[in-house]
Amino acid sequence: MVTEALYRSDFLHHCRTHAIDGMLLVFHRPSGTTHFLASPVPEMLELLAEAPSDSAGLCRRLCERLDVPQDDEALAVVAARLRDLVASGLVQAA
Amino acid sequence: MHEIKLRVGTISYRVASPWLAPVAALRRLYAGYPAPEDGIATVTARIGPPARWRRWIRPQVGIEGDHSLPDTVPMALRHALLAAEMAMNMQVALGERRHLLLHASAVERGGKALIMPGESGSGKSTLAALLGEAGWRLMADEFVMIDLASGMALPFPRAISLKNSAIAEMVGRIADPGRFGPQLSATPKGELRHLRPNADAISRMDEPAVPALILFPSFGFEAASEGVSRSELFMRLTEGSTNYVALGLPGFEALLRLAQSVPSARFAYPDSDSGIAIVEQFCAEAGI
Repeated sequence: MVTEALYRSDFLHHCRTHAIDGMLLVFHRPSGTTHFLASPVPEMLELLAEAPSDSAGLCRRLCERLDVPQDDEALAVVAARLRDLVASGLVQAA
Repeated sequence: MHEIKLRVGTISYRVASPWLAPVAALRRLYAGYPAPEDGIATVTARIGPPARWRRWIRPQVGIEGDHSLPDTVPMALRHALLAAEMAMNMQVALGERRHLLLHASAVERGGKALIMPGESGSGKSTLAALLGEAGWRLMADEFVMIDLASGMALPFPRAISLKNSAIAEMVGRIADPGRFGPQLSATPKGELRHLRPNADAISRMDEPAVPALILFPSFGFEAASEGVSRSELFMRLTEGSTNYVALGLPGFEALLRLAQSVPSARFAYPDSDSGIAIVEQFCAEAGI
């Protein structure tokens, strides 16, 4: 049986953030890297900081927050962005 | 080993070479520059033969110093002055940790700094050299240093590296031939000649200025200009900074302060006169 990974983020504690031109500019202290994040990535980080989720659960919460339909395309986007966020260290997979 | 010690703004150099000629050329080029405080240089740049026999047989100079890059290609001895300048630049590019480095030229008027970032060939050096002879104070031709605490631009008025058509342009405008270094032909950067900044730039090398305008020049195109957004400004300044990553959070804060507070635009210009006119128009709008 395959268990869906649970994702969490403590970016509020580990990052210096600044809103700029409709994006979120992030300095990630542990890695020393700088990121420009465009929607829906900042919203995904906020949701994971509020409570850990698996990919499907995060997609449901994100679609509710952004008031967009929850479909296969949304699932694919969330899964792809989660992979990016884990690689950058902004999100941890548990 | 022959050597020269000199101070350029916040950097105190010792430049050393087993050959006398390049050190003598540096002495002429940097005539009038102060010695390091207490005689202590904090940065060492060296040019020397990459192999022992290269001092005598088809002599070559390699670029060395406190910091080095593994793949620097040695140059012919006749280009030793260029090698020395590159060695001095490399030490700052790789070693500076007290200030945020921007790959840019800068000039100052009324305590306000105009910063012009750009790649080689963008015209940033030539424009700064021209403005430095036309009522502005030259602050830097290659590296602008931003103080991490105050956000002020600090002068680093090294010799200006004039390339190709810029050489004749400046020779025609500057009466004192003693401010020019020797003409270096067929270098890896093309025709090259160094220009010592004027006495005002040298005597005021400890006088900072408030960053007031950031312009990205592009030489060789029809005159045009457009604004640069704050996010793009932040991104482009990080790309041109050799020590942004090494500085960590203080570097981020210093760069963010610049991107948030300083207006920015890019412009293209076909020749020096139109370039200066565009710069002056932007400066009038920015109150410089």
